[in-house]
Amino acid sequence: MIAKPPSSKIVGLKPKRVSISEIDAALSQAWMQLNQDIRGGHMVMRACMSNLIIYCDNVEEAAAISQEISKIVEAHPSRILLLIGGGQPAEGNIEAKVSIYYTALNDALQVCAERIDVIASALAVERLPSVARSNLIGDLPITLWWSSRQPAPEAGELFFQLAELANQIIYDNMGWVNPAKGVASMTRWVAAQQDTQIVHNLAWRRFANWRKLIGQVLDPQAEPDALNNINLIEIEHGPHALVLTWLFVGWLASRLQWKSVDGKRLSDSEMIWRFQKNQREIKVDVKRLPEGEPLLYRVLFDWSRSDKPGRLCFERLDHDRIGIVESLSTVPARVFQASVPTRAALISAQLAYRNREKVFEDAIKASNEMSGVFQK
Amino acid sequence: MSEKPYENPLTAGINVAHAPQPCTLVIFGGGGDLSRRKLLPAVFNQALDGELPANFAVLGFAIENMDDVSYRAFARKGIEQFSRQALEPTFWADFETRLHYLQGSMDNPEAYQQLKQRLDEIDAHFGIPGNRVFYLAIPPTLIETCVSQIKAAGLVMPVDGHSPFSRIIVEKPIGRDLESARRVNATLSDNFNEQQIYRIDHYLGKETVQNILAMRFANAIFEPLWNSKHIDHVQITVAEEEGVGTRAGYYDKAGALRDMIQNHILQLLTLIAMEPPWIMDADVIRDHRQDILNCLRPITSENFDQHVVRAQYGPGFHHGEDVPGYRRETGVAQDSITETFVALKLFIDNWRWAGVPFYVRTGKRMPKRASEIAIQFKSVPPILFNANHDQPLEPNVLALSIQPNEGLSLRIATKLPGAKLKIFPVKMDFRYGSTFGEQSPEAYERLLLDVMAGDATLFMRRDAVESSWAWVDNILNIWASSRTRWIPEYASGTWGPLEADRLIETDNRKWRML
Repeated sequence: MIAKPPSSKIVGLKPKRVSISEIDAALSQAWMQLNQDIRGGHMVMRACMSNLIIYCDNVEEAAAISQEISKIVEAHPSRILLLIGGGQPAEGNIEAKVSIYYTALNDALQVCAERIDVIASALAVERLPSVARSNLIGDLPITLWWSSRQPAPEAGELFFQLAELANQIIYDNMGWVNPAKGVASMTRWVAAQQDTQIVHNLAWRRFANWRKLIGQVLDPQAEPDALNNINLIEIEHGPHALVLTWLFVGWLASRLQWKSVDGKRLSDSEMIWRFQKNQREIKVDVKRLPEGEPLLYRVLFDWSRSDKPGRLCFERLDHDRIGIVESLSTVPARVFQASVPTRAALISAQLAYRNREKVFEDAIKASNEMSGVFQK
Repeated sequence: MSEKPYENPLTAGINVAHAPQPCTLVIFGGGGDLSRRKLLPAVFNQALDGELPANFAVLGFAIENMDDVSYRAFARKGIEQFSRQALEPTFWADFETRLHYLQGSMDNPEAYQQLKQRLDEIDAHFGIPGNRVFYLAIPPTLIETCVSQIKAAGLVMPVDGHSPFSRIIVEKPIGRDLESARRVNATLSDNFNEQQIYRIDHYLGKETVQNILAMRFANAIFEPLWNSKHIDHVQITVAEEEGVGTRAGYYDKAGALRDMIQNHILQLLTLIAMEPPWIMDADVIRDHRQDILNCLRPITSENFDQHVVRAQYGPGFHHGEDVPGYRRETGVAQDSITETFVALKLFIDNWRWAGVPFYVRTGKRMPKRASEIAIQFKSVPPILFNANHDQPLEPNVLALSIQPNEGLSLRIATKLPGAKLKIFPVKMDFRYGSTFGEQSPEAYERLLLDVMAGDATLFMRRDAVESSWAWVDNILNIWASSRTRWIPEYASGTWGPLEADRLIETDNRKWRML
């Protein structure tokens, strides 16, 4: 007997272990069971907006993703294919588990996700794309979430085959071992894609509220001198956020048409870049904090001239707020709601996004140029 | 000259066309009920969702004796009671610093000078470049005074593409008939450019209402059927559970026709019936909606009884409890003939809708709160599955639910499993809340953001207000000329009077059971 969920709360059925060939039958069986259990002339309906293929390297990462799936499908009902490379199937080299997530809809139930976990041993990883191909729902957009620590293009054939299935590819550069190499390979690969495929970095959404806030506060209507006269930016970020910071600087450089001139690593935790625009030099100083989360913590803009000071500092005050400290002050004059989004929220928001984002692509191009300068 | 977004390279890709711009929201009547129940909670929710511009503040202006501190307490109370999201103390501490108050009388020129000075201070403090949104949350009788004073105080900037913007939001009712609506509009036009005027109808801010356009024009399957060849009729219902409550003073002079039909329901009708716009542009969409108002067949004394029913609720039950009739409500005249229910049959005389009746009903003290637009398609021919004359197939119905649960449903016929060929109607239901799992923003939230972004699509233009009054005035004039003191009554907790049933059943159709 199924549990009647509280209104609008997602409930997942206990996953059932099945062989690869039985996936479809097992899902049908789960549907039938729900229909029988609900009785009273009501029926189970399915809401589905996308296929989401998730690839991760191991069961530990899969367990973390599992915790996020109900949040993702709550906002974006989907069929989920969670592909786990480097797993240890109970039998053979590859196996599957299926489950259904549902929610109450008046007196009926609405299935909002069918989840298929495919666990492959290292030997069977190459078979994952074929399993995915056979279990997609037709006529719906397909997104690949590449949740591997390895930059996608470096994964070779496995990634390319999965990417071929997808309309959209979401990757995350958090935790890349070699950021400069990762940025370069990813940029090349993004540039090579056709217009029909959307590629998206979660880092881009991670600092979306910074982009919005900075864009608004330094708006020419509010600060007429700021954007054209920036001469110094100081950034502080937490551990594992270097590539995110890199992309952030790439965004500023591409939007404000700065050309990277050179870069230098000053220490293990600090580097600087120099940019130029119209004979004017812009220095960007990036520091990694010894501890914290992989976030931007502080961004200071200085556009002072000898006759006129101009300086604003954006600081993350806590998980929910960013404050602005103005010239000659240490107390935030204004505080804004800017919650650090969960990964599930980033994914579900991106699933609904169906266009290539030129601003993002310009930003990664600029960040790649920065990496080139840095490697000189 | 139109208002143009200015260049800001850092906002590229952040949907600038719909990004709210830095501004101060000035609420005239900021100490009143609308402010407490709707506007301040809406602003709070927008801030909590990170939707507000960074450079933003609120200034309440009203006669009530308050200062910034007490206004913040007033706002907090309203938000705690009416906000869709809970008030979180840390966030509130930041948010409340954006709330300000100035006590003043609407007719005192000095108060407007103080207002101007206060706004300049707020601009300087919050980095707001002089942009202002004036929200008139005041009784209609004060509109003329308030608008003229705003202008006289030099608070209205020209629309020249360079100056900061000044936008004004006006609540319904805009007039109580065509003549008075024209007067209000003339006052607004004397002081503001039409591009600066936002006549708000909160119904148009609801998710499902906005989804009407998306459903019609983002899906290829509906539009080919959206005409008299395939649609049998359309029903629009706006039912309220509550009685007149505390609004008797206003309502007894207005009635359901003025309160609901002239604005909300005619606006819904235009969205359902309009031709496809070629661009998502406020004026293009409003032109197309206006075309529908222009095509509404006038109701005349000759066909009046076949097209209009009015009634008033009598005593009855509300959720099993005794409730008084309208005339026993506090503040209502004992011999009032104000209608609390109206049912209409109306026609749109254009090529697309020729001969398709639109049945409309709205009333107070109905069995439940429900607003819905239902498109009933024509029946399949009486052959094959529909050959049994005793048990005809139920036609397809596309129902758009506006409240309380926003969503849409489609009724289709399907074969029941088994050896026998038995056809059964199945309702496919889509609810925003349960499908997307997120709370839709309140209508006021969406509409306030639209004003800050300069998007007037969901607001009424002057011509729409006046056309709908012109159409409604026909009915009001016929009622006025009848000189009768009698009005049909329906029991509270029912779906209206028998006369309303007859209005539709004469055509061999029925009101939908909601």
